[in-house]
Amino acid sequence: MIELKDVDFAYSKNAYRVISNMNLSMQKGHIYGLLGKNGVGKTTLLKLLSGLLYADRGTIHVMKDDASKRNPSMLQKLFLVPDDIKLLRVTPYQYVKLYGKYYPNFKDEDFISYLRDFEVNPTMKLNTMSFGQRKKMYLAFAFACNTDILMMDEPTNGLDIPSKHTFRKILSAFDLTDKLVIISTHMVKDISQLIDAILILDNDSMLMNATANEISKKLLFKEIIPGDRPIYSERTIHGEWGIVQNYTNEESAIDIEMLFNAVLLNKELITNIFNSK
Amino acid sequence: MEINSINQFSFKRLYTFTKDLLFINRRFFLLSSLIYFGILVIPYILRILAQLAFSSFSFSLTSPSGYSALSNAAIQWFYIFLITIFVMGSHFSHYKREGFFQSTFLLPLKMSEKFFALVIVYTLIIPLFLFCTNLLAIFVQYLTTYPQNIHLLRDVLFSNWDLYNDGDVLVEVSSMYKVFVLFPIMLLGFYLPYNIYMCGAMYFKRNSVIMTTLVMFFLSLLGGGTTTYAVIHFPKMQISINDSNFLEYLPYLQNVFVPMLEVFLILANAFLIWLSWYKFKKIR
Repeated sequence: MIELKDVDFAYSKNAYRVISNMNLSMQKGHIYGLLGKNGVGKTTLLKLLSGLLYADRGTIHVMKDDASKRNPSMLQKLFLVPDDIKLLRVTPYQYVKLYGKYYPNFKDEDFISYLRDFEVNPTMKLNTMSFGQRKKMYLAFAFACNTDILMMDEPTNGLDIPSKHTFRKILSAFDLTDKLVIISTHMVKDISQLIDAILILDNDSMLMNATANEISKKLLFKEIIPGDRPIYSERTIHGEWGIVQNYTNEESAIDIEMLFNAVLLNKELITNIFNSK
Repeated sequence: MEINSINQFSFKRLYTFTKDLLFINRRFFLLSSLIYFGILVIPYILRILAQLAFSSFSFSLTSPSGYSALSNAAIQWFYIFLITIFVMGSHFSHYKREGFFQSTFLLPLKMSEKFFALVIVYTLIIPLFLFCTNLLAIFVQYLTTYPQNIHLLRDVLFSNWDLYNDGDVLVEVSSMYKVFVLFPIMLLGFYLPYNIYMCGAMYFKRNSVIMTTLVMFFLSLLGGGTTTYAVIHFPKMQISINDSNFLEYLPYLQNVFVPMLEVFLILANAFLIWLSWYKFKKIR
């Protein structure tokens, strides 16, 4: 569904490369969690995929369309929810009347239902809403557009606890058969139950692109006992927990935060594990 | 719909998006026109009120001489520049604030459709609207300055009306000539600063408001100042209908200079629009 080949990107000629020689493939039917430290290029990557930015080198294809061409055929199947949401001085109803028509799968009834779920007043002007309310309105619009690709940059940032729950509820009810969702976030706990594939971005390159299935086949998340050779471990109030290589095909629940720290600390080792058959 | 047909330029989508932009802009539109109209007309209304209140009060904003009319015209243009720059500046900063470029670029429309909708709204309709406001204001100024001529309303509208007709008409031209030649020239001339602005906005995306406003401010200062200076210091520039030399040159002006000016303005505007489009496609 999304293919990146040898992509380089820098914001200006003399600036450092935010993305360097990146190759990446993403398939439909998954909710990808895009993780990385501040400033490693998560937002840049989303902007490159949506055609807001152009790669300096390499190609980016989104559903066979060249992203940089910003063709309507691609844009009507893609929706990006930015972190910093700026909206017009209109009500949600007026907003939908203005922009809903450009998305062929947009459903008014879904939008109203999502607004109700998020408890957003549909007659209130967007500029008078709080940041969280605006975000919820935009998320409701994004979900109602029913695009094949939905990209969200820090979607739970600014949401209160019930709204985060609503967000998870809506997303988990999504029919992902022909869809691909990418969520870029630092708040992994908010989405850990949703994502089934993980992308970990480090300075200018992709350290990990694996589905939850692949991760649990290769790695085991467990309490560390004497004799274990952990790739990474943390001391918790319940003892020492960590990640070891999975030789026994045992299943374990993925702790995304732990995985993220492990990947950043043991880049080569983890890469070798995932590259080995 | 086939992918190829979705990706082709569509007038229907252009129309829809232009309509949306107009809807979004409606408040700016009306408010700026109202402010503009107020600035141009309020002094004249105040004068009438003053005259009504104190019968001995006598103060003329426009003396009925061609010389003063010309300097007044220069000041009018200066006004137009300043106000429109203000309006354009606030529009652009408004859309930067609203994440306009980001949300616009992600809408499933062709880049050319988005661009032409912007051109139609920002460089055609808004200036046209302000231009009409200006004409209306001048008309009100005329009526308030020469209320004794109010019975000539029909003539003023349809016959030998000049913008500063004060009984000593600068150039008598037919209404048709005004409509088809002079008015388009004024409009094209009027669009030139807008297109410079659009170009600036595209090329200096981040600092466009400040930079372009400054450039336009000095341009208008130069234009308005030079014209006023010339009019004041070279009184021979006053042209009277009885000036035989001028009448001798009138056909040359009408048949050569005016069409050349038109062609130049069309080309200059077209070039600036193309330059904006060139950048718009690549903007990121």
